Amino acid sequence: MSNENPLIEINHLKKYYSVSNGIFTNKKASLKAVDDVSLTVWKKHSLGIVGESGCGKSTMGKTILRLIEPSGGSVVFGGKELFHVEEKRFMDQKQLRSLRKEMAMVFQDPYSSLNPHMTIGDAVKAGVLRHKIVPREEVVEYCIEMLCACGLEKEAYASYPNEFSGGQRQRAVIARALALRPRFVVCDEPTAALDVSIQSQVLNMMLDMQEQMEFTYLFISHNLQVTRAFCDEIAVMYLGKIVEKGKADEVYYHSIHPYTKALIASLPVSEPGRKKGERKIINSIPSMMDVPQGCRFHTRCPYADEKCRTEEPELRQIEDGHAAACHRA
Amino acid sequence: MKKLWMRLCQMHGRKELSAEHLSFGQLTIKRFCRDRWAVFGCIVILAVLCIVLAAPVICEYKPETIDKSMIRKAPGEGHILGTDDYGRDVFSRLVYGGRVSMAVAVCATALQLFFGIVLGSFAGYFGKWVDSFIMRVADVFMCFPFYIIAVCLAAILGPGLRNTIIILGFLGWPSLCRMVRAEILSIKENDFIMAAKSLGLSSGEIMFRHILPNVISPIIVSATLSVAGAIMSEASLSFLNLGVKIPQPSWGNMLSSAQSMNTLINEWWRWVPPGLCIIIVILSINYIGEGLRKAMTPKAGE
Amino acid sequence: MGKILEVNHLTVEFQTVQGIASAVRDLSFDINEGEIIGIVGESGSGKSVTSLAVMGLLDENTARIPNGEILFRGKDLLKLSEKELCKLRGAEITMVFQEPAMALNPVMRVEKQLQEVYRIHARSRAKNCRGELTALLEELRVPDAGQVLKKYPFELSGGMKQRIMIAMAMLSKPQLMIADEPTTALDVTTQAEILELIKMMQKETGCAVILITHDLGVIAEMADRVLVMYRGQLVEQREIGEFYRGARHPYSKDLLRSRPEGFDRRFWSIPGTIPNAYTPLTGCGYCGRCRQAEERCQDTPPQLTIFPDGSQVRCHKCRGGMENEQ
Repeated sequence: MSNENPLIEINHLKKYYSVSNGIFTNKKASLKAVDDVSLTVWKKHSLGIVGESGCGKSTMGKTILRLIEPSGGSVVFGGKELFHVEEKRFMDQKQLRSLRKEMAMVFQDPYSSLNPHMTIGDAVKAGVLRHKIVPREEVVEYCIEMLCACGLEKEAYASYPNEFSGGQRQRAVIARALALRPRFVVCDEPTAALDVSIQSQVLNMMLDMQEQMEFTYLFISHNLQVTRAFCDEIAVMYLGKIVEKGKADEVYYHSIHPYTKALIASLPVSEPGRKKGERKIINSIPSMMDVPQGCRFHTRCPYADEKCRTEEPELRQIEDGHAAACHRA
Repeated sequence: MKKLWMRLCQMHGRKELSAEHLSFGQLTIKRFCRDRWAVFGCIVILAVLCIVLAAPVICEYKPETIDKSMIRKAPGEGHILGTDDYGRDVFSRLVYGGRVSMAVAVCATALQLFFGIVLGSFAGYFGKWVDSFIMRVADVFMCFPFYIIAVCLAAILGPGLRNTIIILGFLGWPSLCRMVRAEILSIKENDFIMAAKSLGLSSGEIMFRHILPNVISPIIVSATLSVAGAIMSEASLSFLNLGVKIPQPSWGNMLSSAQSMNTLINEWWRWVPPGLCIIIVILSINYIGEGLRKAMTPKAGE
Repeated sequence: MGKILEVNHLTVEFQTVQGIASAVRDLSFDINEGEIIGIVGESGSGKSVTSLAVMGLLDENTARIPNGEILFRGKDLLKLSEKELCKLRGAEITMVFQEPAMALNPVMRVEKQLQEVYRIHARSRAKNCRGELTALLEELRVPDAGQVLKKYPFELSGGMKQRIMIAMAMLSKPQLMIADEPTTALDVTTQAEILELIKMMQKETGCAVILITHDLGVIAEMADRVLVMYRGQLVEQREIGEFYRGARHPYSKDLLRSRPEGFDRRFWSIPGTIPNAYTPLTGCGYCGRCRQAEERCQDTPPQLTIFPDGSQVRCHKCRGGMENEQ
């Protein structure tokens, strides 16, 4: 993995929202949605980001693509710097817009990611026409091919989103993203709104397309089982920070961080009567405006001690290729 | 587009375009036609439009022709609705007056729509100082009571058809602007707008091809009701002699000229017809507006 | 154990601009006292519509129930007036919805919403019930229950809101609780806690629970019996252990097989998609996607076979206690 080229290098990425503390004070509280995240995504590999809702993973996905303006850090995409906040370098809008054809995004909610007034065909066509992916005469045929490759019927081209179910809409969203022939696709919980059976179909289709078109996925999800099967590497996120990172199977079967262990133990059993792993997670997730001191997980960690309450652990290598942010690892 | 699609189907061996792909507009029309009152409103308005457009054909007399021998005659004897105090035929004044009232209403609404949509879109989409500026301007316009400003403007510009349209158009755009802005603000949050951004589309394209079509529905409903409002306002202004100038007839100034007790009691044909016309037209427009609103926002499960 | 709910030949249709949608087709099942049954199926299988029909919450303008009866302790709910239904709803039969954010009134404090339910339906008419509400929330493991009562729903997390919903459902000690995808919108850790809570409350009060979900893992943890629905029909009904050891209907087998655990880089999925509710049903509903389909499956609708142990299956190939091995 280390002798391949990194496609995306994310360094110390931060996204803070300032929320007013009340009408009588000028002071603003900071909501740290993404708090100093550094990741590398390798070409043709899939990186999964796992965490509970509200941990900042969706925000991170959108910030990496600069759909949301970042508060700190830098992102280098295929050698080109998208932004470097501290050194005040930002790619200009025109260049960024033409670069968008290499970075696509698949959204979570299939019911709001398609414009209800446009046909599926028009939605897929928009990006293709803008970036002149194929000559103008071939656009319609290309779009229909794309829709069929994603498992929809040819008729879908002239149909409206309201005629389709969630799974079919999500396929259309994926077709729209992949029609640009991107190098990098960010998938924000693409199957969260779908039934388990449809989920499998859509995920298989995504894997097939990846093999055909050779791109890289950033797969954001709260479902650890699916992420393990889908991705090569997993990064576990908690309250805006990465707490564990490594190969998918390593993180799933040999997790180090207590949070990851708790997530795995919380998964529903596969058969009735089968005993679950011990689930010792206590209390509920703190708000992002009120991140605990020291290790952010210490309020819910059954192993927390004095050091955990005062000092924030660094993400460090525990084993080869497997890193965790825990004092007790 | 459909032809190309059918050619493609043939190329790929399909026989015909199967199933209906009803667009949002077509579905709306279908639902609209199921509402009896809305359809009734449509028929009435269409009938009124036909009648007023056919004015030169169906009216025997010109609306401004004075006939001193036939002053204040009751209906009958060649004048279906009698004559007014200058011997002018009330029926032809009614029909030509309808033209004026409808024209004023439609043009004023068009003016409101233009300013409302353009300014509302800019305010909603760009936000920040553009939004603040436009909204403060709209606030200023909305601060003042309608009739006070209308009277002032009429005093400055003078009465007349064109000025009435300008006054009504100018005073009506702020509320439409606010509505457009509110809709755009809520639509902007949808994922498909962020998706359009992620495809690399420019702001202009996103605004016109993605956001505006979604905003059209409430605008259409509001515009329909604006027309009704404009008819009322024109009638009021003309009633105050600040709108359309006599001898050009309008429903409003016909009511105005029937103000004396004597006329109200003894000459019903001078004020009942225009009054009834105003009521019928406004009611019909309201039914249409309500029908459109129900058709455009179907309940879940439909 | 008496039967608390009996659904007999229930059919529900919706009249829309695009035609008639058959959501539920000739559905029959019953629930005993104190039982947890799980209703499993994909979106569009009719499970939510069934629960809404039991509660009498279907939209009057579009929904039609051409035939069927829903007997709650012998009384046909479909024949009751709105007033009588109101007395039952929230008291004897309660419901927990999928999206707690939508189901709670955003402008009323939690305490007020719980008080409303308490005053209308609870057995006692005590004016100051704050103590009891606090005790109930503490039972539901809500930390700082006194403070939570004073908050508005938007100040609470998803898991907390769902606990409030369960509290509202349990306040009146109902005989039947319907939970429609109660944990689908929650994270996996919160889901685990909520499911534990539901099980705990159920044991204490002895009420029957209908748990509607598309997640087989949730069913495995919670249910005593499972009902599998497809295209508005009941296709299999089985005791939970037997179901996991050997489901009969091809759809059940396919559902069990398509769970994501144990796969690597490729998931097994059921081919095709569920046809929409406007498509008429000819023959077996699952025919287009079934790997064991035969000719007769296309035109002859299979009848429901009832086995000696009470389980049921609707398939041509599983008849008379003799299953065809696949």
